[in-house]
Amino acid sequence: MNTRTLTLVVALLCGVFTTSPAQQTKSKVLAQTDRITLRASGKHAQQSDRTHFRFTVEDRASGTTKVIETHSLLTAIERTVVANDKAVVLGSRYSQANGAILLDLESARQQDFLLAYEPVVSPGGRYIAFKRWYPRFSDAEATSDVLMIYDTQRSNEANRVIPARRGEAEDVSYAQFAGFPVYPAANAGQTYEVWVAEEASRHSIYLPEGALAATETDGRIAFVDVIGGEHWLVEVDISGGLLKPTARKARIDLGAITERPDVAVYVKSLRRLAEGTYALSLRPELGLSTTGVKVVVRR
Amino acid sequence: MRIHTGTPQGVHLIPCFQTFTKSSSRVLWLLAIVVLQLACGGGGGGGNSPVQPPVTPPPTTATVNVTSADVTKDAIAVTLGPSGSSGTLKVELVGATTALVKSDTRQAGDHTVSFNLPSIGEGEYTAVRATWTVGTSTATKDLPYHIYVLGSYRHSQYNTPHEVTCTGADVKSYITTGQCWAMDAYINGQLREQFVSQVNMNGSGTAIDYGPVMREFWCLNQPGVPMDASERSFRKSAPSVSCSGMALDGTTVARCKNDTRLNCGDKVYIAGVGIKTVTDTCPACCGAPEMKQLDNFTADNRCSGIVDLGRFVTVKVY
Repeated sequence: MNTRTLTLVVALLCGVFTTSPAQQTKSKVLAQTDRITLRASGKHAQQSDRTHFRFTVEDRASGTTKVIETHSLLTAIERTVVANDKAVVLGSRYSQANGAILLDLESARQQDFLLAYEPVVSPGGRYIAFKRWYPRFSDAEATSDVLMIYDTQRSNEANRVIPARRGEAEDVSYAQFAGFPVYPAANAGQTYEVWVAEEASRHSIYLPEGALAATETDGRIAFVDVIGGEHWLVEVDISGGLLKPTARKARIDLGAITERPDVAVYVKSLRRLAEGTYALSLRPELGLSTTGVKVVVRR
Repeated sequence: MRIHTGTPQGVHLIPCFQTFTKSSSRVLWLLAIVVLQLACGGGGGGGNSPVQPPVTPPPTTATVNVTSADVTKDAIAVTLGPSGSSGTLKVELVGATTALVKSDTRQAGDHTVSFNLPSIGEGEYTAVRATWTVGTSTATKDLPYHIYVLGSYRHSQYNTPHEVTCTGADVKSYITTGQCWAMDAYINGQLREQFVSQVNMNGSGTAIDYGPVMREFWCLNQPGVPMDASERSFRKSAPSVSCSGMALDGTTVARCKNDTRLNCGDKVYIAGVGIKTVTDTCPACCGAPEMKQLDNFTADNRCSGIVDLGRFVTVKVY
């Protein structure tokens, strides 16, 4: 077994633990690999409205145990991925945000924190894909979705396209401007700003299962974007770098695949068949006779 | 016809022997009558008809009616007949798939059956079907009834915090009006520290001195922004919901905008909680597994401590 295989052992634990005010949770195993066991306990502080998470990293290879203390905006941990001496702890803050705490297990410190919507970690643990965060009460024009990519192998500063005020890792503005915007083109590689006046032009993105299956191997992210009621399969290519992403897309022809035009389709998962060709699996309970469709994306 | 014993005058004779009663010897005739009466089957009214088999009751015809269904009351009303019968009642929800609600033995009469929601599979159902079997007789009745069982949802809560409930020292803030280039675009103000933190995350709140405010974004991207304006600028503006013109109160919920099962104005029944109306979107709800999270607005305006209601079976009602 080579080093890469060893370090790419990814553990995923879907258990959720939530802290309520002033409640100390018992230590819980978040993730376990053949080398690392990561545990956490949490206590929410009413005064600061932060949660004190205490992470314990047990390294069986070296026989050491390290502790990482954080005061987090998150109130719940939902799943954790451990890979490449990093841990990506995904969670949420009430219903205000999703987010991720990035832990450097080698140096036993919190490396970064990002506010996000729907964060997903690539199979090997290197990339976090998510939708740009905005407060839940925001101008509608500012709520058009932007797909973001965070590279856990880069430093904090190298994960921000504009120089950010360097404050505490969990300052809201520092955390909300983390990662690279890669889609749509108006934002790709350059800006976090969003202002789409026309409702029919706003993006509504979601990442089905399998969206990041080819991200580490081929630099591709595939997802669905709903624009003005039309569904598009989009493939973003980041193989040229996160500052120069390119996108191609194809409309998902609902009329051809559903006899229920009154029911909007939802793509549950996708699978890359060949260059630019994807098999989409549709949510089964829609009563469709067809639950799969092949789509080819073009520039 | 029955035969009575006693005096000949009292004898009621079967028709085929009535003519014999007028003959001479009353005794002989009476004897003959008795013998013939026995030969005729002991009183059957049909003369020389054969011996009748034992009488069996006619077969029972099962009847069933679904008189009402209301998931918000967890009640399906069923009437079973005929009176006095007993059999097997099966109640189902019918749609693209069929879900068994209940199957058990019942007596005829009026019954109320629970929807048994936790056991019902997710899906859209358009009728309640009752099937009632008594012996070999089966009756089925459908009542049109449209619901969409969404499954078990996380029900979180959101609010607009009031500054008076927040703690911390007053900190420098800017109050904006949306007129980004005006001379007085940024008015110096003081807001409690925890309130500033909450509005930055939540996007909205009610300030003691300024009323409803929202986190300022637009002006911060325009020229002339104070150097320290980030995360401390708030525009005088009341929050609104994403469903145009709809309410924001204790009877409304927000859903993931990609959840195609729920649209603006849809009613949902939250088992154990009640009926609420979808009026808003909740971006964080999209991160829940299968988007199964609804955010319930609450008038509780505390600065923090607004926690989840819990997990409940949730049904879209039509």
